[in-house]
Amino acid sequence: MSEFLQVKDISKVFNPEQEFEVAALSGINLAIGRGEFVVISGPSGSGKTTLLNIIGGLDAASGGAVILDGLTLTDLAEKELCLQRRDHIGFVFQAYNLIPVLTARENIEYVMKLQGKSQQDCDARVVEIAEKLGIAQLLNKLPNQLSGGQQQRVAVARAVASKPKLILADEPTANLDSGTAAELMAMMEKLNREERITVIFSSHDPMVIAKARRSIILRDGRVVQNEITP
Amino acid sequence: MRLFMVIMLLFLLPPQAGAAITAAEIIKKVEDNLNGETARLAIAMTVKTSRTQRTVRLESFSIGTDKSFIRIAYPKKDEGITFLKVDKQMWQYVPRIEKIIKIPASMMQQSWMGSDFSNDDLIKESSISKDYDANLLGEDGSGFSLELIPHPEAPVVWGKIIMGVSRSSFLPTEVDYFDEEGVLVRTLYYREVQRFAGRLYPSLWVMEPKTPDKAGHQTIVRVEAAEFDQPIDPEYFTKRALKRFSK
Amino acid sequence: MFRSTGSGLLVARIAWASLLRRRTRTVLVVLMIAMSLWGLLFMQGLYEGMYEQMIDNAIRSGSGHLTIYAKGYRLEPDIKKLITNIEEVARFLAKDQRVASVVSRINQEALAATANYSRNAKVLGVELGAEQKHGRLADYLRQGELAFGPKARGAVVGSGLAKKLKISLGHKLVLSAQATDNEVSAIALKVRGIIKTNNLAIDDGAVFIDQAKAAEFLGIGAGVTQVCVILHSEEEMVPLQQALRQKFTDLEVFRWDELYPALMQSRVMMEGFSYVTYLLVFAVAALGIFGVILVSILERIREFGIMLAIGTEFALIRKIVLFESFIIGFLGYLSGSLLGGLTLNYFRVHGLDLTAFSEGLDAFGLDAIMYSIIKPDYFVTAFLAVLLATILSVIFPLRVLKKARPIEAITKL
Repeated sequence: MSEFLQVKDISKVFNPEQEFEVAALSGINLAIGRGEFVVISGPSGSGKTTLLNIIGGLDAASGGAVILDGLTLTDLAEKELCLQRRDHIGFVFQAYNLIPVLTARENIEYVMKLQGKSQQDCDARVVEIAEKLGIAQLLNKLPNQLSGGQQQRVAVARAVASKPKLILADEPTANLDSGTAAELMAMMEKLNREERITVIFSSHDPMVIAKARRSIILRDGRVVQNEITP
Repeated sequence: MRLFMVIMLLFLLPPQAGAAITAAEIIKKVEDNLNGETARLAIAMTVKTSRTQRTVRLESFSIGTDKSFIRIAYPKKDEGITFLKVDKQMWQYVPRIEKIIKIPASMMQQSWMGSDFSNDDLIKESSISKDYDANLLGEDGSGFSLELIPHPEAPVVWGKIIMGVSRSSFLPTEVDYFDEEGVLVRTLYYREVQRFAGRLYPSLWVMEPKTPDKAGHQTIVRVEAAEFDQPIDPEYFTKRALKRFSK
Repeated sequence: MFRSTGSGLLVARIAWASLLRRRTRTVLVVLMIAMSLWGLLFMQGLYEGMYEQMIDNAIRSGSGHLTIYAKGYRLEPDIKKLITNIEEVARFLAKDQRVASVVSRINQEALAATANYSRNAKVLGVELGAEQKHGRLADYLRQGELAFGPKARGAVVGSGLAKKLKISLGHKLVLSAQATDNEVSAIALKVRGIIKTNNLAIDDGAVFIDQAKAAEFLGIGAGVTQVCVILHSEEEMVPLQQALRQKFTDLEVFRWDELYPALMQSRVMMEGFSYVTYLLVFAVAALGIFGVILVSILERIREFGIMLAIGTEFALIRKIVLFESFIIGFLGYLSGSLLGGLTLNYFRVHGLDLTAFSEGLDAFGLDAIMYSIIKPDYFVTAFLAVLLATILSVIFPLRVLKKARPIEAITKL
């Protein structure tokens, strides 16, 4: 049986063998299926961001392996990892997601352009996504002309536009008011359903946590709970 | 300048009295009087500037205007320097460096032995009658005043020359040299006419530049002894003579 | 270089947009490059124009591209060392396509004298018609006319010499020189024209007279001292010199740079000078771009981090930075070249009027109105200098960027 995403015995130590050695993660084991809608929660400093970064290949683990759809990410060199991120993983960060000199449209089609898709394909997908996420009227604006919520929505659009297998979102609603946060979550749920994209996000927000169908809780770098919510 | 013309002396011919005389005739007489067949002169030349004065003694031998030989006798540092002029060429021998120098065209306008005469003055073949037209400007009891204008193609630098001639001796008294613009550049005075072996000759010559930059300069030539028309050894007018007679 | 035009356009778009975002900074650097380039081009064109003028004057009035003398004349000039086979030489040169014009001259050292002054001079017996075709002497005429009069008793005098002798048009001048019989010959002439070539050898010493008159004055039966040749193209100088040397083994043939080595040195100095100035432009451009790019990269670490996180290869970021640098350099080059080109062209046509300094300039043999030249390779070399600057100046900033680990910048929120 191969799960879509396997996290095997991942550990992460910062400043190894130095005075301020910090064990951010130890012994993390997870198995997540395709199309799941997962939240990782826990107090600050519990290692949520670190885990997400390792899963997404933005950070290297000190030990253990991450296997995504059969491919051991932790064995890959930087260049191949980069391509994996481009083609199969989408990121939504807490803030500063967008390239400031490009318009919303250009940001959304950015990864597709990296993949070498034709302008036609890009345009079609942008239109499709923009409609789905209700941001069609924002397309020609620059990021500094958008509100926080709008920026996040565009960020989500950008993350999914290239049809990745997995989306990692690190506290995406942290800077949003509750109304906008709810809208954003609704959007992500929709995408998860309609496009069958696996979504993993980290959050403090109980409302957000409630939306998830699997909840993983970390404390002090260890998994203390891993449950499918009914 | 006719230092060389001067060393030839003919017996003075008394002036023709009576008949009106032309400028050309006057000039001819003057030239005859200043030149001779041969001449041998002992000369003391004093060069004065506003600050200094120095005197050179020399002896000269000449035949006509073509050949002449000069030997400096005094002062000691210049003693033995010799000059030879044959036709239009001039050489100098300086015993101190034991060298014979040919005076080139470019040195022609330089002063001779520091005086107000130039090398060119010494060499100038152009007799007045050849290169100038003479006009009689005026006359009185004592003499004539002549104006000499150079022929347009004559290679002389002067614009005009005014010459005063004594009636009694047909010798020049004062010669004024003017440039093209009519500005007086220098004057040559002939004074103290004396008899040398029966011949009348000016024994004192004074060359005075008249331009402001040479104010206070004077060259005074005193003829201390003169002998005319005696035979002179032709050896003097060879290049060998420069060294041979230098001692 | 780009996997598809898609990412190529992306690079261009991001680079251009990034530069526009910091408009003032970009404009300042572009201006810096443009100004230094403008200054360089202006100085180079003017300086080169200046010494080319000097060389041109010397060639036209003095030696031509090539000068032919009798054997041994150059080492020991002597009026008796003459070129006697004149017709043969003339025929040879007439047949040669490379030759533009030929003149012959009789030269001799002389003394020029007036009642008040005398100066060493050089008498040049010339044929005015040929000289005019050869060096366009009429251009140099300052007063009077270029003529010797019906009886060939006229002289055209260099302006410096005329000044020292304090003579002017119509004055009498007596020349004495040594003739072929070793005697000193003298001639009276009337000044008919005064000439100023800025070739000091001519201006301060030359007295031009009719060639036949010179021959008579110096006792020359047949032959001339010097034959000067001007060619259509300076590149033909060396081959023609060799051809002449081979054909006329009893004559000596010199190029202008062999006769006037000091002039050649101006040219050599110029090359050194221009290397230094291009280096300066390069340094200015490189430093300017370096500064701007470094700052802009450090400002954008997070931005680059995001791009890297979502799958951009570092190579693409490198291309963006390089492209930004190239845009700055290119804009700087374009505007600097345009300014420089326009300025140079203006002074090429109208000349830079320095007559206020003409006395000082005269001492160096320089014309008071200087004309600049424009050469295409100014712009080519400038382009290369700027191009090199754009490439080299991004190396260090990119290294800084890589070391700064942009991904960490975004992950360590």
